[in-house]
Amino acid sequence: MNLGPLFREGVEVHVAEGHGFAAYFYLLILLVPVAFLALFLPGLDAQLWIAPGAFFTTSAVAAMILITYFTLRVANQEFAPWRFVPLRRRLMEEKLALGEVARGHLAILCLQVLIFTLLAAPLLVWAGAIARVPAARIAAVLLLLFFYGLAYGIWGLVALAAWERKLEIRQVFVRAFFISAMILTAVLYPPLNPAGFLLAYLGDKEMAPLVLWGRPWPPVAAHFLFHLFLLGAGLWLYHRALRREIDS
Amino acid sequence: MSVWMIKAALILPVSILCLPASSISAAEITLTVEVGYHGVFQLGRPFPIKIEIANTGPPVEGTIEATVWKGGATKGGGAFPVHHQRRLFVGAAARKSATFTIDPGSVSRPLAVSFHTPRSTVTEEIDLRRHFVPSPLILLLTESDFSALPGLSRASNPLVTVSPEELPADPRAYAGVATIVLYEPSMHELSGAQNVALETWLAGGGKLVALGSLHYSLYQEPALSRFLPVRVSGLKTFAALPELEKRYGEPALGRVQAQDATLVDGKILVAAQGSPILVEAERGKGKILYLALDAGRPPLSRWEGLGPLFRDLAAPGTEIPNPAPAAWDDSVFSQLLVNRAVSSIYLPAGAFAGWIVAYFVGLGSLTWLWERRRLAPRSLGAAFAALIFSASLGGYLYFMRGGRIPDGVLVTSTLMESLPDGQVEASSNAALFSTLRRDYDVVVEKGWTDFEPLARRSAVAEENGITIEDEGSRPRLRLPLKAWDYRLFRLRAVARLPIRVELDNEVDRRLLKVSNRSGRDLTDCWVIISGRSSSLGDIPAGASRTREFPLTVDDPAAAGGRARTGLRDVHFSDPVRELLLRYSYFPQEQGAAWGGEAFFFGWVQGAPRGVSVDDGKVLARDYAFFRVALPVGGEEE
Repeated sequence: MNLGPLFREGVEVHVAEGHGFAAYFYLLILLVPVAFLALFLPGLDAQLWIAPGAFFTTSAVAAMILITYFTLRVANQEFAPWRFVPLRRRLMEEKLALGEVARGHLAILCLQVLIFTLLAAPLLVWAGAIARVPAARIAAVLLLLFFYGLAYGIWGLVALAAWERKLEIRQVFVRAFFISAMILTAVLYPPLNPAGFLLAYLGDKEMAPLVLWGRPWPPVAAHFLFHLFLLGAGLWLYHRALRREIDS
Repeated sequence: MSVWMIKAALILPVSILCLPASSISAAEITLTVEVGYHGVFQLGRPFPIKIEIANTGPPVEGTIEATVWKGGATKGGGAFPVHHQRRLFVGAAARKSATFTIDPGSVSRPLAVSFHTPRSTVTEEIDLRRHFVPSPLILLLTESDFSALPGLSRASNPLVTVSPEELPADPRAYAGVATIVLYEPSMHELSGAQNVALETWLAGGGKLVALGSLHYSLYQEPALSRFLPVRVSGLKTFAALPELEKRYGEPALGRVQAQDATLVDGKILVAAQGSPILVEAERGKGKILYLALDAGRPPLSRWEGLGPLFRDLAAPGTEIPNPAPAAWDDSVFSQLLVNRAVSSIYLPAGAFAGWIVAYFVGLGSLTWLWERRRLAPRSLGAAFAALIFSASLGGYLYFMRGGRIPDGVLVTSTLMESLPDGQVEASSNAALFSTLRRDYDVVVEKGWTDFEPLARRSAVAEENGITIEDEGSRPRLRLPLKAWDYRLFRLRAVARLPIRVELDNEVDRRLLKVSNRSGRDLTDCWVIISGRSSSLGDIPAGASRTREFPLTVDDPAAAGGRARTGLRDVHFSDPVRELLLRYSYFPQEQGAAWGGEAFFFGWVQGAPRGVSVDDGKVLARDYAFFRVALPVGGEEE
């Protein structure tokens, strides 16, 4: 399958030339100590009085935060930005179709999220085995990590398409977006927050339903609808930003 | 007519006949519950209940269950149910009974008794408030037709007459009994379990009063004589009993016939003509009193001094509370579990680190191969995927199924306090914690009693429930535990451990003599005298140690808190022992209890722990601590 020059460029820069290895290294080097500390430090919850009970949960939440954050940065082309051909040239000089650019970007985003998830997978699987978490639940968490990587990572592409020539603005945007998304969802309705959702899901805790327009919505549905909306909104804005680039 | 029609014609009437039988089965079972001893029990202590199941219908097999609630806000935790269960088969038009020892947390909730069959459930609720008395009972065990002996029954301690077959076979059932009075009992009818229960209760602080009788041959039967501190040889006539009359008042008894006996153990309190009349002997923490006179027949039965004598004999023993019981709660156990020595049992930290290192080495190798251009991009991708897959799967199988992590860990910490007569009072603090959600069968060993699950702070009541299956001689407790959850409980026993520790206070020195006549080694022994600690090392089984401690000018043997000072210098190589010493056996908040005393302590190897879990996937760690408080000369209170 031909995924286009942008995908080839992404693979070349991040994998073949090794510029993405820094992100992979950061992910692992931050996740390992968190996992080790989670194994030995007592849990905060009185019921999870002993570390191993929260070992997998803590590791999964840490992995989610790291994967989401580094996916945003990689999608935003923060690693070796000089190695990427500017979008304007792709669209204007190379006459690539908008769909072809989007397909290439989305394919490389998926590949990056997959690499991040795979890199963290052994650590999470071992943590799950030590914490005696059923295999199906471990697999579900890995799928959730991939989903969160995509839902939040798409906003790195939004930033890239919107402010391609303003690296500082892009960097500030992705960080501000990441932090505000995590904080606002936790404050407004915790089950919307990926960390809150993982904690509730893995801790078998009942989540309060979301009451909207006087009607209670199931928390799981609210969580996934919100993230699908986040993904959809990101795709729409990314598409609009690319079109604006062509129009300008 | 086809074959199936013939079959249907045969089966249908039978089925119709069977239908009403199943629907009325509930009405054919009736439950009768007898609470305590003839309807009386002491509030706050375990007591027996006897449930009789009467079946007027066809044979039925089911489970008889008695449910009480324990814990609650007053115990600092949530209330939880304790279900006592037994499988029973009740024949057609037959009766069967089951006895349980129950220990409700309060009498405000009724006792629920149910008989469950696959088809129906019969339930009775019994209001316990009509049955309790505030003080312990006195049981009179007799085959005679006396309903009561004068002076024995008092408002504070009601007397209940029981026959031998009514005596419980569970030592816990005696917890609300202060004294058992034997008068012409027929002990040979007692079962082995009843005898063991009686002995366990006695050793744990019970009081047995054996009243003599002119039917002396009963007292020569091995079943009864094993409890007596004397050997009864026959009858003897006494012209007078001046010592007894002097003790319990005039008028004189006059000529009286009594049992003639020779002392076996204990001490004679009252004697006449060289024969023991009143003898006292100790059994562990308990006491046996023997009176050679026949209190049920004249002239003694009419003697005015009998009332005071009986009051004296049957008075409940003064229970000396342990001034410093071992602390055992969530905080102690949590500290124990996060300790590396214990956590290494269930946390494969080393293996986890090893797998991480191996994973990093694998990733590093791939990176190196990529840098050297030894691998084509496709091969690199395949190698990366293979590494992730093999590492994940291999690690998962290793940690999950490699047997490295036990399903549960049973930790017991037993404090053995020295008693006279080579006995020890063993208080076992146990904890069972689970690494996964499952049920555990905990077996209470023979001779251990006062099993008490500790209330938990916050949890759903039904998840905290305990089921006690009384199928055999040893009760089996079924505890459901969640993943990374635990349950604490206590139990007690009086066991034989002949370790003699003496501290002789001489003019210029103190002499400590330790003689280990038990079959178990004592390790890591220490003594603290006047705030100074001294290591005695190991004292193997059969060995003795003598250590001299000079009295110095600044050795005022002193005041409270000295033991605490000495404890600071006590160290064990095992961190768990260290932790138990400081937080459980000598917790900070009990410092005042050790004032003015010297202490000898050491660890007992291979001591019984009281509970076990018959499961190869549950690891056990046992710690048994022997402790003796020695009064220092001149400071005894």
